[in-house]
This record gives sequence, C-alpha cells and structure tokens, in this order.
Amino acid sequence: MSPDPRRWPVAPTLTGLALLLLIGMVLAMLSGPMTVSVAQLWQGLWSSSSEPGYLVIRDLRLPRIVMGALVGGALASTGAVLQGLFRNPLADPGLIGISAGAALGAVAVIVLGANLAAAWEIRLPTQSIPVAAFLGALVTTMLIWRVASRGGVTQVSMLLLAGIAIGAIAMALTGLLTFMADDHQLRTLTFWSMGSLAHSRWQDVALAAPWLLSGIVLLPLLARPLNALILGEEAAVHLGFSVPWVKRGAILLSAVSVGAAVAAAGQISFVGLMAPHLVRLLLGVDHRWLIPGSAAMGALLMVFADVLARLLVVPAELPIGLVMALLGGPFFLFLLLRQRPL
Amino acid sequence: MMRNVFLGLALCATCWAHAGEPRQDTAAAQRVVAAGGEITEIVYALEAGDRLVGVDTTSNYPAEAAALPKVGYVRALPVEGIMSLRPDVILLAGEAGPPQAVSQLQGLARVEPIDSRWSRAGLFARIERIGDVLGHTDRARSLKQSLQQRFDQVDQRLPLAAPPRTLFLLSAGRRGTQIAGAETQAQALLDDLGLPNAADGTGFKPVSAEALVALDPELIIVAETVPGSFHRQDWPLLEQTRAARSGRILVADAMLLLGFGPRMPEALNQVLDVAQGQGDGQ
Amino acid sequence: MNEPLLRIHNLSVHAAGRALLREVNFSARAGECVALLGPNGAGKSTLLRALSGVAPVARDTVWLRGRSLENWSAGELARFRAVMSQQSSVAFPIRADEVVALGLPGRRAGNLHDPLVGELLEWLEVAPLRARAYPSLSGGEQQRVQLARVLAQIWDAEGPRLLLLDESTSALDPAQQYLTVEKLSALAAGGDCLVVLVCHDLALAGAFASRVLMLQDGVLVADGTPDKVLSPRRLAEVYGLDSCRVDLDTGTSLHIHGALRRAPRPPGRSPGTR
Repeated sequence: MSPDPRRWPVAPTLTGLALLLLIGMVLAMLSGPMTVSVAQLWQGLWSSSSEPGYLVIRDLRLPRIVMGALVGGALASTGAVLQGLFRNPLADPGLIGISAGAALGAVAVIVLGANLAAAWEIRLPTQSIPVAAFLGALVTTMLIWRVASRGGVTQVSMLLLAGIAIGAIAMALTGLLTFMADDHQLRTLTFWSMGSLAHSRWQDVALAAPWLLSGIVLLPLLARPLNALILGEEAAVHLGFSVPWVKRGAILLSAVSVGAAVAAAGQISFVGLMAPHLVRLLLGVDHRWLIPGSAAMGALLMVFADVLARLLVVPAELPIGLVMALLGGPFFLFLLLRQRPL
Repeated sequence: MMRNVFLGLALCATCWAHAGEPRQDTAAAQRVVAAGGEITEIVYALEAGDRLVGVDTTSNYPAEAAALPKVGYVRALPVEGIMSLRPDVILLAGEAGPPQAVSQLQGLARVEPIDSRWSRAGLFARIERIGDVLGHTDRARSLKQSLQQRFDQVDQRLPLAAPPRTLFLLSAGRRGTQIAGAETQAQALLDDLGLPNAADGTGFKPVSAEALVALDPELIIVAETVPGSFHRQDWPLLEQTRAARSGRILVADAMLLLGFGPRMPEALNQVLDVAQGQGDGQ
Repeated sequence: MNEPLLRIHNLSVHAAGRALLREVNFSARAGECVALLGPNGAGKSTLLRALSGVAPVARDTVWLRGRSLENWSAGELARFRAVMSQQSSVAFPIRADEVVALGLPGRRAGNLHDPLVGELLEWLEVAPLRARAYPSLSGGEQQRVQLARVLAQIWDAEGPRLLLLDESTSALDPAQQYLTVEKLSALAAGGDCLVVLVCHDLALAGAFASRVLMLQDGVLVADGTPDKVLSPRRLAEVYGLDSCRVDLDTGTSLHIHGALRRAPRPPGRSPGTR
C-alpha cells in the first residue's frame, strides 16, 4: 500500500517556488564562462555602456535566461494540462504531434529552404526556422484533431492514436528530408534537434514571448474543468463543465505554446514531464496550483540546466536539450523507483 | 524535494565561484581564437601558434592544437565561451556559425572573417589576411613564396596524359561513408588537378557498395574524418573496381585533403602519386 | 398540481439499429426514492444515462423541473442534478477528501477546508479515510467516497434536487449497503430530493425504495410500490426467478428460492480435442 499523499501548504510553497526561480535567475546571471560580480551585474543591467562585460550581461545572458524561463514555464504548464486532459501523468506534447510537427517544419526549412529561396529568388528570412517549426506544430496538431473528431465529438483515445499515427508520418517525412540533407544541413539539424538557448537574442525573445506567455497565462484558466476531469469525462460533464471546449482550449493553447517553445529552443524533453511531477508531489493534483506551480518549476529547471550547459564544457557549450535529458532521465527514473506506483 | 533544488542551486553557485578571476586586456592581437581547421594550420605555419587561446573542433593539426581549449564545432560557436577566452581577435572560417552567434561576436570583439574559397587563390588570401592580423606580413609573404614553389613543382606533373575517373569518398566509419559530388571541397581538389569526378550529383551523398562497382572508378580517394576509420575489408566490392586492380586507392586525412591549408601542395602530390601509379596510398 | 421534478415522455433510445428503450413514460417528484430494476440488458443504465444527458435523447422526451432537457445547460443542470456512474476511475493519486472536494459546487470546488467535505465523509462513515490515497481504498470505500462527492454537488442546492445513482452501492458489504441506502432513502423522504437508484438487489430495493420501476427489454413493465411490483409472478416473468412472499410478524418479505430454469450442464469437451 502506498503512503498517504502528503500536501505542502499551497501559498507558502508557491511563493517559495517563485522566490527560488528569482534567485535561480540571478545566480544564472552571475554564472557563465565569463566572470561577473554582483556589482558588475547590477551596473550591467542598467548602464547603456557597450563595454563587452556589460554586453555579455545585457545581450547574451539576460535574453537567454528570460527565454529559458519562458520556454521552461510554457513546456511545464502544457505538460501539466495535457496530463490532466489525457488523465495520464506520462502524457507529453509529443502525444498530440506537436514535437513531430515542429521538427518536420524546422527540418523542411533547413533542408529545402535554401533551394526554394533560390528558385523563387527571395532571401530566406532569418527567423524562418522557428516560424516553420511553429507552423508545423500547429498544422500537425490540427490535423490530429480533425482525425480524432467524429460528429463534433473528440475522443481522447482517438486523439492519442491519431497522434501516434500522424506523429509517425511526420517523423518519416523528417527522416526523408534528413536523408536528402547535405553535410552542412545534417549538422544544422542535428544541433537544432538537440535544443539550444545559446543564440537567443532580444529579438528572438520578442518573437516567441507572446506565444509562450499566452500558454503560461491562459492555461491556468482551464484548472477547474481539468480538476473535474480527474474524476472522468462523464463526471466532468455532470459537474457542469463543457468538456469539448476544455479539450479545444487545452489542445490549441498547448500547440501554440509548445510550438513556440520548440521554435525558440529546439527540442527539449523532460521538463513537461518532470516539473508537473515534482509539483504534484508537493501540492497534489489540484490544477489551480499545479499549473502555475509547474510553470515556476519548469522555468527553474530550465534556467538551472542552462547554467550547466554553459559551464560543463567551457569554453564550448552543450545543447540544453541534451543537458535536460541527461539530468532528467536518471532523475525521473529515480523518482519512479522510489515512488512505486499503486 | 526542495532539498534537491537547493543542492542544485548550491552547485550552480559553486560553479560560478570557480569560474576564475577577471584579467585586464593586454596589447592587441595577442590572444587569438581560430574557428576553422585550415585557419589554425596557417596560424601555426606563421609560427604564431602560441598566440592561439582557443580553437574549434575541426582544428586537429598540428598536434599542438589538440591541447588548446576547444570552443566546439565551427558551425555552432558559443558566444560567451569564446568571449571568456578574452580574445583580441576571432578568426572565422566561411562556414562559421550560426549567423546569430557571428553577429553577436561582432558586437563584442574584433572578428575577422577569413577567405573561404577552396582554391590556391583562397589559400593565399587566407595567409595574407591572417599574416596582416597577426602582424606577420613578412612571414606570410615568405610562406606564400615557398608554397608557390611547391605548387610549381606540382604543376610540372600536370596535365596528366590520361586523367583517371576519380571517386572521392568521405569516411566517418563504416556507416558514415559518403560520395562527394559537385560543389564540395573534394570537387575543388579534383578540379585543381584536372581529374574528372566519377560521381554525378551535388554535395555529399550516402554511398552504396553496388554503386561503387557500377561507377567503376579508376582512382579512389578516401578522406577520413577520423584517422583509421576506413577499412578496405568492409568494402569487398571495392576490389572489383579498376582503381583497386591497379592499386590506385588513396586513404588520407580529411583535413589534409580538404582543408585547403598550408598542406595543400602535399595533398596534391599525394593524389598525383597515386593517380600516376607511383605507389599505393594505403 | 405543479410540474413534477422529472417527467419522461415517450422516451425511446436506439443504438446500432436496436431499441434499448421503447416509449418509456413516467414522472417522479422530489421526496421519492425510485429503484430502477430489471435483468441485465433491460435498459436500466440506458435510462439513467438518458436522464443524465450522456446518451442523446429526442427532443421533449425528458423534462426536468418542467423544462425539456435540451434547454438546460450543463452548468445549470449541475446545480441540482448529480450523477454517479458505474465506473469511477481516478487518474492521479488523489486523496479521498480531495475527491469529495472536487464535487463541491461552483467556486467552492476543490476547497478541502469546506466543512461539507468533512460532514459528508462523516455521514457516510468514511471520515477516517480522508487523507488516504483514493486508488488505495477498497471498492466499497471508493464507492462511499464517490457518493459523498456526488452528494456534495447538490447538498446545498436551492429547490428540488435530483440524484441519479447507477449501482452505487454494489461493492459495499450487505450491512453497509443497507445502511447507505437507508440514508439515501431518508434523504429523499426529507422532501426536496428525488433519488433514482439502479439496483440489482431486489430485497434492498424492496426494503427502502418508495417506488419501483421494472424494465424488461427496454419496456417499462411495472411501476408502483415495492409490494405491488415485486410479486412472485412478475419476478418469474421478468427475471425467471422462483420466489414466494412470506408473511412475518414484521410484514411481508420476499423469499427467493432460485432460478426457474434449470442450469445447463457445463459444456463437455468435444471428442478429438485435447
């Protein structure tokens, strides 16, 4: 028999998480291959001097930490919501084709983009890879949604099966493009698939932030119906919730925010799984606290992984997706082994 | 659970504390970061290897370069990692990237894009530019002169009476062997010697053993990205080609053959030796 | 007479070309405790699903508080109608009191400190289990926790309330079953609540229901007090049961001897197969 679930007090725990995130971000600002003191950090944030030290703080570290926190927050909120929707603590955005679609979009631009641009005599915009990843995620998710919907009813089990099938097709197409890729393109897409925050500039943050924030801010609105869904779809209907709208809202917001996250930072696994799991251990399954708590936890994990990514192989840098998987895999396994399922 | 998070943050804080002390910049162009193996080779050829403070992962020649801090793959350069080496100048090969990193580096330090043409002219331009940047214009001139002499010697062997149809393979292990087509450094090397490429198509493409036999090349050049990664016994069908029957197979380091650095005459001579049947490159 | 809380008018339900319910008609008022009986596949659960809005029904066949079902929104219905379906799995290791709190209406949902949570757990005698993980509870404990959750939804509701229960006590031990159904029937008798209970236990239904509806092959074949409906003749017709009524000092009691039909022999092994 499993031990009785323990719950931490909600308000102090959420406040603590937010504070930890803040401290983590400050520490992350201070850590990196270049040494920065607290005084330098303070000045660097406010001065408009173009001295390299300040530029590193303002234009390298700050945007990537902000981007990391937003991406982590969006991925973790989405994970919490999708796990609630699918009523499965192991659900992740990959299930509804978001990741596969984003990968297909990005790889298509990496491999075909230059040729198409040459054929149409246009210049490929610098943001074409993230935009294509974003669109790929949306299109794939909508396709899966259409397949899983019959007569206005969307079955969660069909969503899952359609997700697997269409995800597999998207992966096959990605494989085909990979086969067509040349050496340079192969390298680019390998690095893209490992995920990185390394080149987040303020303009990238500006492009991705509205979408990421829409997930972080709007997903908690689904908390009450998701709570009812814990008891089952019929029970949620009987409790007065419009389950079809909850599904639509959850899928759309997830596609938008995860699409933006993949576009901004490449493929980053485990945050969406690990952050909600940790918060559930602390606060239980009430989505009113779980979703914002997961956002803070996801942001914290991401900022922490990014610090490791920058410090482990100085002066080179590891892709953050790789760090997250290296940290997350064993950590998650440890949790699973310690917490025997019922 | 909180404990784990605290541990993590403590770890972060420790890493940060150990990241080293800041130092003041000294005279200009003393600290050099090179991204691109051929650039590193030229810096060493100009006897300025001691000024290198960091190189990319394609810089594996000469052997001393291996001991330098590595900033990662040339197409995925870390901005802050490079800046932490406090370089006076960053020498970037044409393929250096990603573009965002290059533009960020340009805002932070002196960045010198180095000519990336795969040709003798490109090599001379590279030597000249790097010589200027390092303040070794004289050494650059004499290096160019000696290279020119060696190129002249190569040219005396050219043109070949019957240039063999050549297949160029890039090998990174048994599963990673690719055929070089047009628009590759390999094509540029063949063009320099007037050797016709047996393969058509552009770029590097995965090779099939049967295609090797069908193409039936008269000369095979294998460029190994990892030394010792190509094994002839893995390719039994290779022995059916005219190249194998006449012993015209050259296996050599990819950076030597395709780097278009100061070792280019040596590369050309090695290819010619095998092409003219004056010895097996194995 | 004012409009009854629940009115079923010519309700038929078809699925895959088969009629599950045929022209069912009845009304029920708050204060009644209605037991829905019938053999397997008679349409009990279908009728309950139709009432709870899960199975689609034709227009103007199901009326609640004098308004046709399709004119109610899910939110409005949730305020006076609570439903407990047969299977009730829970997705996460949620606590028993958290399950009950999820049933609380409106903004109160999920509030563990709401006094009603404790009161209902107490009332259904599962208060000691409140901090336990729901999946770790026994089937009977889970059913009582779910019942508390369903009750929490309409406990404080205004006006007549409707409680639909599909075999909600099937996993309880006999004593608990009687105790729990007695509480529900007392709740109905209190005046403003109609309890509709799908049930397989004829004796239980006979003991506590104020009214029994008997379904057979989708047709409502009997509707009346337990004494009238649960006659040996009807039980023989509908269930094929051999029973008799026994007069005791405390009243009449139904005694069931067994099935009328002789049980067929178990299938023998066909020759040649091993």
